[in-house]
Amino acid sequence: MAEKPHPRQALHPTPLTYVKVAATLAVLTGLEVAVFYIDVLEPAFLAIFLILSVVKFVLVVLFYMHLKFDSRLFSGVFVGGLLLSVVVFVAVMALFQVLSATANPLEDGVIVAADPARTPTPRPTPLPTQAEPTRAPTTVGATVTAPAAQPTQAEPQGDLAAVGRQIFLAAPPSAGPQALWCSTCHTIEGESVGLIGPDLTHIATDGATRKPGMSAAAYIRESIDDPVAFVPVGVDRALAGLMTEAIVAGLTDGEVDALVVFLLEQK
Amino acid sequence: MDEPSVAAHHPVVEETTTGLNHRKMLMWFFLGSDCLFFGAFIATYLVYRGQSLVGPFPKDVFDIPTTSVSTFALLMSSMAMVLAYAAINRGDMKAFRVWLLSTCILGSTFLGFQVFEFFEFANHERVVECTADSQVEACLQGAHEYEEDYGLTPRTNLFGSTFFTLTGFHGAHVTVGIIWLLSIWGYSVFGGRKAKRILTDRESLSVDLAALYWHFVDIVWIVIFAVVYLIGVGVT
Repeated sequence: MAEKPHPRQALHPTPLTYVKVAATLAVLTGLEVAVFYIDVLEPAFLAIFLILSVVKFVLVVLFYMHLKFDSRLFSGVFVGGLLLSVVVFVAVMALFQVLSATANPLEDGVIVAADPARTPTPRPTPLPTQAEPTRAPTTVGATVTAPAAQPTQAEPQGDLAAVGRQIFLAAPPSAGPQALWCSTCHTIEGESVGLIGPDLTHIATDGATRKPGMSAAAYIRESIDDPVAFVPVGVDRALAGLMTEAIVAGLTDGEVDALVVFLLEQK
Repeated sequence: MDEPSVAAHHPVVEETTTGLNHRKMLMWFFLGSDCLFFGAFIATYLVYRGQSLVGPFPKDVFDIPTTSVSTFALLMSSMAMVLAYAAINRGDMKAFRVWLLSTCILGSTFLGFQVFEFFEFANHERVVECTADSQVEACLQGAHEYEEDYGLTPRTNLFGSTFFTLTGFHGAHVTVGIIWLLSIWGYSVFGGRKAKRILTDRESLSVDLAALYWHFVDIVWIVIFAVVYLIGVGVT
């Protein structure tokens, strides 16, 4: 078949071009990994990694997949699919507010033998401390000392309840705006509106009747430590399962005590 | 023969409405749609990033230096592939076989790293500090710390599910690519004169299509490496 030399044929890359592209790809990958270890650049990580990977992507598509030298129609078909997937991608990111999400508070912290899921989280309000804590703090590096479970003297009960209320209502700032917290799921009239977990407005009264021989305080404590230990009638067991140990992670024993004191006021 | 726009790469006008080979067009359509496939999995990974309630978390298991090496192997396999493609276009069967086999070996290296990585993740352990009330045997015997299983599987947490689904599907693509390339290599070695005639024919797309697929697998990994690994660990 007799053929005229094609005008674009001259642009066809030589093996040397391919090797040069490969060298560029290798350098860019090395750059990515190097940047990863430079802490100062951390604020710019997202931009740097995105730009470098897009450059690599485009190089491979243009030269190795020779779209640069091929019919525009092939480019259209491929870029069309690619753009569609980028649009879907951005839509999903926007839908789930991924770009505004913050770090998972559960991913940091000291690993502790007694309860691996628990990690100490600094809290804005210091908890009242006692001279002789009756329970040893279980978390290494915890910022608070555990008060007694049942303070007998003229302890600042009111303060403890106020601290417990704060713990109930709001996640610590470090947990981020999307963190799950007690008040996310539980309603206490006048305090919070949560539709997922059981209503705790009268938990001090209800709690005393749930398990025979168990006080409201003991019942509340058990329900925090192990939400599925007892699931009251009318509550979906799967929902109780949602309140995993991990959701109360970040609570020290002292904070659980405060929470119990606060909940015992909900009569 | 006089329409430049339709005969860009293969100067052979196909008797189709577009003037382009339908198999190649189909391959590009497939690759375009595969972008959506992987785009969905990467988006899912990002949506659930930082949402796992229990560990291990990305920074617990990811080992960037190891993955950088496997990433490099896959990039170089793409170079070997394009050099094999250049060799077959100039009718150099010997160089073609060498580069094609190199592609397969580098691709298998990448896959080997991935299998290694999956096993490492699944059998990950962590060091736990002993405390006063630890009931673990090692602690009771006076040790200060001990190792416990902290493995990541698809059912461990959201990170495990999304990570293994995404990289597992990519690994499956790589596996298919290696089988495809190896079969072409086997044909070129054992197919005799007929194979040489078919493979070096200007109209032959046998190598071209496999190469397009292989490079696509490479560019998907370029994105996965940046988004899942580097951004996954580095950006908080």
